[in-house]
Amino acid sequence: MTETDITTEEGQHLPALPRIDPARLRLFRTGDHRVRATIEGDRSYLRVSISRAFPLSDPHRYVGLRDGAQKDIGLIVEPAELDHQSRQIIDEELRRSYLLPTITRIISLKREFGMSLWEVETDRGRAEFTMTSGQDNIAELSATRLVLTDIEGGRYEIPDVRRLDSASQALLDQVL
Amino acid sequence: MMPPAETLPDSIRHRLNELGIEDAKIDWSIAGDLTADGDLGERWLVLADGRLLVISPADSRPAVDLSLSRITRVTAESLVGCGALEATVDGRTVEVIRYTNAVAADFTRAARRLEALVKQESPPKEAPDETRRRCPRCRRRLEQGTNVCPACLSKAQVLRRLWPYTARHWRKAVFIGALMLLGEAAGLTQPYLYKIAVDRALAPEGEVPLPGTRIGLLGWIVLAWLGLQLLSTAISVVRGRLSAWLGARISFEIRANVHTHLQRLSLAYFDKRQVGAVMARVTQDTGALHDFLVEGVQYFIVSVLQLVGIGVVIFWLNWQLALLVLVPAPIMILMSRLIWRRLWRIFRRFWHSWSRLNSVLNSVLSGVRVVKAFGQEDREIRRFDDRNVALFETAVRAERLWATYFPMLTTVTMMGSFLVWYVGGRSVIAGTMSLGSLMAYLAYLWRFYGPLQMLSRITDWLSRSLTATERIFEILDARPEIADARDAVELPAMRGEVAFENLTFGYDEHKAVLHDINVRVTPGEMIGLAGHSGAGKSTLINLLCRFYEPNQGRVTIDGIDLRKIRLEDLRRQTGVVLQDPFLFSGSIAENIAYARPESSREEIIRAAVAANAHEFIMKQPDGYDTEVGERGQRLSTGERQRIAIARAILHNPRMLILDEATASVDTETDKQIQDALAHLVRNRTTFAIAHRLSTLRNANRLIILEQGKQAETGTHEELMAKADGVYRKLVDLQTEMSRIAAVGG
Repeated sequence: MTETDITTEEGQHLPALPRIDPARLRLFRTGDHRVRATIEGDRSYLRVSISRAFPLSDPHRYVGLRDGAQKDIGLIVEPAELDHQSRQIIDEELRRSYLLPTITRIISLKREFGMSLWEVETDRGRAEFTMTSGQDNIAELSATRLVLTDIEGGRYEIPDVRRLDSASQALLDQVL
Repeated sequence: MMPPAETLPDSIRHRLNELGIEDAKIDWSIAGDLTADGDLGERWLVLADGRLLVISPADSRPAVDLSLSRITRVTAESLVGCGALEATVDGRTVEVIRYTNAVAADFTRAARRLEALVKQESPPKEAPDETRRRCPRCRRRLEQGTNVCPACLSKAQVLRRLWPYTARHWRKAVFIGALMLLGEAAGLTQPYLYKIAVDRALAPEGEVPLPGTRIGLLGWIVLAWLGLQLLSTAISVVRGRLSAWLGARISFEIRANVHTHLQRLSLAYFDKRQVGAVMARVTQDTGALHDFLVEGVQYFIVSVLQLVGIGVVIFWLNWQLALLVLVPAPIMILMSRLIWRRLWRIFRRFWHSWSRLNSVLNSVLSGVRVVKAFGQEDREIRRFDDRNVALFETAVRAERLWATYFPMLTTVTMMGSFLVWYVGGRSVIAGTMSLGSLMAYLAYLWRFYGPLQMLSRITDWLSRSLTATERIFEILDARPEIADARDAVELPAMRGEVAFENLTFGYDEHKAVLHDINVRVTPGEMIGLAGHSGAGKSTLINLLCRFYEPNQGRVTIDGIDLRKIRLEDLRRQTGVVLQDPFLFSGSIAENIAYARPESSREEIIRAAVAANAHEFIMKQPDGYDTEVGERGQRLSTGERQRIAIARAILHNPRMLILDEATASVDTETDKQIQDALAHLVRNRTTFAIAHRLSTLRNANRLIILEQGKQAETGTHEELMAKADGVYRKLVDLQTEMSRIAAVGG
């Protein structure tokens, strides 16, 4: 996916993107931790939930809003174009509802009995997890980008294998 | 009553004490693993003294401190990779604590308990967590779908359970054992003949006998040698053949047991597991067991025998030399372990590359139409090339590693020989050792290192095989939840009177899918079940088939509780036609006769005629012998449906269950299917999950389900008379839809 796929000349026959105009959208925190959305000149939604259209391949753009009944409101293509407060709420909510720690270092990796025990440092803190040794649990999003799924369904990302330190790379090499 | 508290760490307890909460007032606690910022870190949710608190070891003050009396609702929200426990306090929703998926199940349960507590209801009955996620002994996380912890597995116990399978063939086992000993003895004698040949015939010391005598002796020795060689060949052929049979036989018996047992297990067992995981149990695990029994055990015993036998002999021949021989042994064991590990890893990667190449090839060949239609050949060529290059690279790495390490390992093994040559040779020159002894010694040496390398790998092999074996036993230990009651009654001729009485059921006991269903059906009546998807229609059918048992209330047939009716009688008199009929690979005739394999050809054709299937079957070049392909893929949906109807007609059940297809078929086919069904339902008690208006109208009565509750029951006319009825809305909607379809189509 690249920037060019937003509207190409060839896409004229397609229905319009359910886009929300970032200039008209305002997000607020209501007293509790819910988020309220107002689209100027249209209407307010008391409780919206926020989700990513491409959580893995383009996590910072194409953010979708749904209302309290889980009906689609529309897409924010570039959250960066929102006002500061709304942008911040989007970031907080996305951080809250997507947990995909990024592995920065592999401290130890043991293989025993057809399973691998990992101890890693992530951007969200130190973590330990267990994976079954099948290759199905390691998704290779590209030649150097991996997403690991542990046996409890938790997921961890390695954005670029080459940027890990060499000790971590050597450990990782054992399971790839 | 609250469940027992998890043991709180002292630091948290101290914090609570500082807040004025004594230990005795702590009702219950649970550990979360995410901080308020979403970082990984320990936090505790504590219920104490009528308050709900969240405390982390780092903070002095609780992050959340809520009085239970202010809370009106507690829910567990599931997010991506994590979850949040939320509470509604004074009408506002707040987030109490967050956690990762690792403990999400515990928090979901905690939320339900808290919800019951604040609503002052009795706490929900929790089914015991059947699939444990951690080993209760060593806290290791367990693989999904199994409770076997490979670390805590008692190897002796598994071997003991394998014993009965072996004991059945004890004569053969004993015979194989005897052959092993004999073969070993023959093998041990051979190098000793070197000694005799050299010392007596070739280079005798002291008084040298005449050459004629020496040649005669040599002749005898060589003959004895030949004899021994023939004997040990014969022994190893017989032993190999016998033990191959025994190992294969035992794993055959276990595989058959596992499959037989799987067939007896209830649907609920399969619901909780993935087909792939169960298949792996039957194929891979029994395969691992087979390898172990056929090769592993033999290698192991032979290696141990050789090691002990040769060890004794070389010490007996010359104990000083024997000590020297042992010098390179530790290096060798260490090295072969390392090498095997690396080789294993690299070869696994090699196989992985292979399977990736295979999957590209598989998907592109089966999707070749799509590739051609969109003109994407070049892209597919690139994709294949990428994988092909990866395979080439791993293949080179694997072969290079192999080519490098093996000669090295051989060199280490040679070290022992060099030492023996030099030290032993000096003894020969000094006259303290005979030349023959040295020759024999060197020959023994070569046979000594092989088993040593083998045994260094046996532990890995053993634990892999035993874990596989234990997982197999785990299946054999699973008890079918649905079985004939001890006082089951025979019901040879069912009348077909069915009643649901206060029926309540949920696949998870705490999440009811059906609430309090009450219906009485007279024999021969046709009941239409309607409602939105997820309303509980299929669940009701599952209970009627006794695939599951109700949590409360009961289902009766002819006044007898379903749980008391012999399963065999129930199945024999119930026929099912499913929405997407499942055909087994085989011929059309075999599929029609699935429930009654003894049916004659004539009966099969008559059933097909009644199901409006005869005509299209006859158009097939192979007629009734047409192979339907895997899952019947070679037939169209409409054809599969009519075969399934023919199958039910031939089965001639007293009670019929139809799951009507939503899939659109052309009008002509639809009419044919409807005619076939009309033929089928005559005089049988029928339950039909109905979507079509025509079926709904034909039903004697309709049960409308809404969110698991019986919303409306009555005839088509009665229900249509209700101005605001659920059924009326459904029908209006459908009429509208078909009008649009009629106009548009």
